[in-house]
This record gives sequence, C-alpha cells and structure tokens, in this order.
Amino acid sequence: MQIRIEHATAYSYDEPVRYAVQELRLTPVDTRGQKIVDWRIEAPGIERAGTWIDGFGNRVHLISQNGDHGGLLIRASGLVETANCDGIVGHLPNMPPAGVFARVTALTEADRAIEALAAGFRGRHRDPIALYHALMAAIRERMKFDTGHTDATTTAAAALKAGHGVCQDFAHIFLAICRRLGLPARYVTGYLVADEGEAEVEANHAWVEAEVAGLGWVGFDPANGICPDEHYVRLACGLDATTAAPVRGIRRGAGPDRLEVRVTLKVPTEQ
Amino acid sequence: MYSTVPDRYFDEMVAPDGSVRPAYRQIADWLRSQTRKDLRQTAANAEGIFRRLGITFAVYGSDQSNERLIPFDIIPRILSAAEWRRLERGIEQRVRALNAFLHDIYHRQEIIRAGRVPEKLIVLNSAFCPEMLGHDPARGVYTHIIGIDLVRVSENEFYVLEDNLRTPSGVSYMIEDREAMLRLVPELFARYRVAPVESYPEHLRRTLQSVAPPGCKGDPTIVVLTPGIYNSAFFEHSFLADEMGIELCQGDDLFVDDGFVYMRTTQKPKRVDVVYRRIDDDFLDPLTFRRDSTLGVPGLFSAYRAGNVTIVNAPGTGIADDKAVYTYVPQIIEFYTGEKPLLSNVPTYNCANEEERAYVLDHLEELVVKEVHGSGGYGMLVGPTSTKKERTEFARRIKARPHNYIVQPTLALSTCPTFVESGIAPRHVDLRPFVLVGDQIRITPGGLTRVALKNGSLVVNSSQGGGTKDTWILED
Repeated sequence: MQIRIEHATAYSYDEPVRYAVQELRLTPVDTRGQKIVDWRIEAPGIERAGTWIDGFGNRVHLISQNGDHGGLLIRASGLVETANCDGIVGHLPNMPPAGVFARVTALTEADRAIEALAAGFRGRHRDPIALYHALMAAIRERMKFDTGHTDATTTAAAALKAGHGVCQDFAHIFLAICRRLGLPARYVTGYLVADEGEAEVEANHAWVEAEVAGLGWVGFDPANGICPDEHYVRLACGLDATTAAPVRGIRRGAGPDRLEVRVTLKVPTEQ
Repeated sequence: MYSTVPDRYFDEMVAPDGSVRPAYRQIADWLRSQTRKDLRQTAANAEGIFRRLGITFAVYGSDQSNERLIPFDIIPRILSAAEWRRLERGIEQRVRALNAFLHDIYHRQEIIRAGRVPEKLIVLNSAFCPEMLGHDPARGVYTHIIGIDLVRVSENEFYVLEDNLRTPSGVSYMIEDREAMLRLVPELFARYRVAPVESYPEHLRRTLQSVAPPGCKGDPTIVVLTPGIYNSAFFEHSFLADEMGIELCQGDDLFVDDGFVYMRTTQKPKRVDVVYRRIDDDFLDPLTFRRDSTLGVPGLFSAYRAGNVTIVNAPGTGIADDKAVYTYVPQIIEFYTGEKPLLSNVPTYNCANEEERAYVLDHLEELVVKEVHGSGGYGMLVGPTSTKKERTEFARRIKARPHNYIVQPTLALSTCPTFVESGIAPRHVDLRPFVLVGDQIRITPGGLTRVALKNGSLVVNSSQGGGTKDTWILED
C-alpha cells in the first residue's frame, strides 16, 4: 500500500517569543514493512539544522529561532510504501542493547494497580506472542478509548486509574507492565491510516514494540488490539512518549501558546 | 611533643618505633624550632591570606552564616616520589578503565553481555543517562576532570574511597594552599624539592582544548559554565576561568543557533567549542533534562549530540561513580585493561544480599553506612562515633530500602601532625589527587589533603568541619 503523509505542527504565541529551540524526530526509516519513497521536512532553518542519530535509532534535527517571532510551522511530508509483516520489524540499525528498554521512566512507573495487573502475567514468558496479545486484551478490557481525559504528561498509572485514554496512554500502560515484568518494550510513534481514500486524523498514532526471541522486535497496538499491518507507518521510537516525541521544544517567554497538529493521510487510488 | 596512636593508626610522620620518616625529617626539625607562639602566628597569617584571597565555601544546611573559610592547617602532608609513582600508576589505570566502561555502557555493553556487571544495575540506575546512548564524544573521553578520593591505612595500603567523575571540586584549594605555604614558610621550600601544582590551570586549558569537536578549526573557544554565585563552589569556577584566561558564563550568556552554541558578547555572538560545565546533568539543558531548570542552556545537549560542542565532563558519567557500581570497579578494571587493579577498593557490603545485611545490622557499631546517592558526608552513619538512636534509625532505613545503602568497615585513616588548640596532634587525613584526561592523562603531583580537625573524627568533609593541608610530592 502507498500512503501519502502530511504532518504539520504549528505553534502560535500570543506574545512574541524571543528564543525557541526544537528537536524534530520526523524522519522515518526503512523497515521490513515500510519503504520511504520520498520524504522532506520544512521548517525555519532546517537546511542549517544540527542533526544526529539518537540512542534509539531516530534521525534528529535541531532547529532554533533567535529573535522575536509569533509562531512556528513545521511540516513533514512524503510517500511511504507499506506491506503487512504481521508487526515484525526485526532488528533496526543504531539501536541500543534490548535491556535498555526495560528502563522505567516517569511516565511508565508502576503503581499498585499496574503491579497487580502485571502479576497476572508472571511466568508466561515462554510464549511471548500470546503474552503480549493477552496483555493488550487486558488493557482494552480496563480502558475506554476517548480523548479529553488525559494529556501528554499523563502517566500510565494515572491513565489506568482514570479508565480512559488515548493511544499514548494504552501504550504507556503496556510498557509499564512489561517493565514491571522485566521485559524490554519500547514506545513507537507513527501514523495509522484507516482505509483507502483520504483522511485527516487528529494526531499521530502510538503503539509499542516488544522483543520476541527468534523474530526480533514485534509491534503491538494496544489501542486497537492488533499487530501493525500495512496501514501503519513507523516514525520514531523511544522509552516513552517524551523521548519519542516527533517535535519537542522549549522557548523563552511566558505568554500563552497554541499548538496545532494536523496529520493528513492519503492512499492514492490505483491507476 | 607529638604523640601518635601507633598501634591503631598509621602516622604519616612518625613510625611506630618513634622515629621520624625520611620524607618528614626537615618538617620535624622545623616544628622543633618553632614555639607554639610562632606556629600560632603562622596560622593567623595563613587565615589573613585566605581572607584576602576570598576563598570561601558555602555549607548547606547550617543555620548561621552560610559562607565561611575552610580551616587550613600549616603543617604539610608529604609523600615521597616513590609513593607517588605507585599512586599515579594506579590512578591512571583506574581512569582509563572507567572511561572505557562509560564508552561501553553507552554503546554495545560488552561488559554486561560478558556477565561481569548486572544489566539491571546499569540500565535501571538513575545515574544512567539513556540520552547518551550511541554518542561518540571527542577522543572517546567521557570523564575528563576527575578527583579520586584515597585513604591510607598503612605504609603500603591505599584504598579508593570514591571516584568523583561528575564535577569534582576542590582543585582551587590545592592551588591556593600551595600559594599560601610558599608565602608563609618559604624557608621550607628551600629545604625540599616539592613538585609544583601551579601548572594545573594550564594543563586544564590544554586538556579542554584537546577535546574540541573534530570540526572545530583553529583555536577552540572554551568557557566555564557556572550555576552562579549561590553555588558552594562558585569561587572555584571564577578562579579557574580567571587562571585559564577564559570566560565564566551562566546559562543566560549562552544560546544555541543552527545547532551550534554561541556566547553573547558586546560585539557579535561568538561560537563556543568546549563547555567546562559546573552544573549538574539534571540542570544542564531544560530541553532534554529537567524542564524547570533555569540554570542551563536550552539545546546545549542537542548541540553536543550533533557533534558541534564538547561538554566536559560528559553527561551520564555518574553511572561510573555510583556507589552501587563502585563495588564492581575491580572487575571493570580487569575487563578493560586485562590487568589486576593497582589500587584497592574498600571492601563493601551489599545490603540487598540477605546474609550480608544480617551481618551489617549486627555490627553497625563498627561500620560506616553511606547513602548510594549521597555525597559530601551527608546522610551517613559512622558506627564507632554514633549514638544508639542513630543506629536504630539507620537499621530501620536499611531494612526499608536495602538497595539505597552501601556499608563499609570503618577504615583506620592515617594521621598527620596537625596544629590544633592543644598543640601539634595527630589528625586523620585523606587525599584527593586531580586527574585530567584529554589528548593525554595528566595527574597533578599533589592534591587536596583533607583533615578531620576534631580529635578522633574520621569524617574529613569540609561540610562536616574538615580542613585542608598543602600536599607535597617530593621530587627525586
């Protein structure tokens, strides 16, 4: 399947901001299930940006704005060819040893409820695929997918307690349980196209990847209870939503701001 | 005149049979030639010098004035050329191994694959910095500026108490103590050939220059980044910047543009190649680390990852001087150098191990308990001088959070003659030599000797009433 992606991130400030820096993790890589046909990032100063590959295999760009400005528009777009590989991504380059992904972060810390949930999965390491599917089912049983209850800073524990959340929260709960069990798992951000045609979606999608002996890393989408297929495009990964964030910035100046993210996904109809 | 406790503690000056050790002969003669009044006068002069130099030290948690002079003792601590050579070899081996360890931990983690260090101890450790994964700093050096704390327990036995690999301080005292001694007792320097320590700032500058990013053309621009005047070591930050002839900056003086770091100047911004930061990792860059930090520079760490600036010491070096990782340093040295460690670790009990914990709880009176993430002598129990109440409290804490504590035997720290109220008396000392790692390893012949001024005290930290002494390394 071919998916055309347009991902715009727009900041606007009520009062001029004199200094802002952003890290962009907006460059997808080829995997077994996706081939990047073309891709570009448009942002102020992108051609002079500092760039490197971070510890999780993500290409990062560092852009900055010095001097008063009222806003910022970052646009990533391109065409990706996808195929269904039953979620298997195998081993990607520039990745740290798997054990690093067992590290607990502020967003994936376990509380009693997560610990209790994790306890039910102890001793089931032998069939990891079954374990991860059961884990997705358990999360979906307890969580209702809807927006407005959680935000970017909501922890796994808080989301589980609320019983509501978005894909980020489902992914964090999955990670918190895995890490409680000592199993490495990572946060993945990307795009999910519903079906053929054109769709504007509210934001990026998020899911997880866990290690399965013999297969390497395999994707699981706890919000939808399936392994990613040809409808998914993988963008970046990390320990949690913070480290994998497509755009992460900081600015000087106290005025309020608005952040608008618009993702448009198109599946060109076959000629 | 000077009486030691020969059966319990090694004395730096006097051997158990009462004879003076060769390195101290002229000092002993000099001390004999001085009346108590003479010494008191010299001590008073010393205080005058330090007041003029303005060396103060802020002490956290003390109610009264929070800035004071660190007491200085006028009797130097002396090591022979042969003793120093042994220490030097051991220190060099240690810092090489620790840098190799840091590189490995942030790359393939061979030492974990080989089963020499437990994976959980590293990847779950709060001192481990995942943001550093896969980064290759200039010349592969992670920890450039190091202060290794050593204690001596006998003629030939030195132990490493801790490796300070993050932002060690105290080097300004080493230099100022020497300057004071040269003024106070010039006649002693005529009788001894003492290795100079004054070249430290020049060696520091060369070290910093040598680790500029490979893309830097011409003379690199270096700055010292300080949290500001309220930091306990601010004097040292400004002292070192001054001595090296480079700018002392605060976070606001620097900014990132197009992936490079710049310093604001009265003319146009100047690109900065090397940042010698004296700000802790957490506060270094609010974009990557603590978002509420106002001390750091937004984007500094990103510019570092882009290879456009060198941060000295690298973020994440704390994983190698973490107190729980410390117990593995002997294995770390063997793994990366293929050699036996030349300097010993203090034997350390692991409270997470049930048997060892039981022993510890039964013997708290003889042991020293330290918090894994503590420093500066805070949150520590010294068994032999503790009260029953303190021991009960620590026993409770160890049981509640065994991973949070390491426990060591109370070391019989060596004593050194020290001028106190009652005259010249033995007081316990340690030693912090300073090491620089860049294009080469430079170890300043000397260091900071800290002395516990209270009779019988084994805690030398300045925050706990310790003082300093000039440290003389004799040349052959």
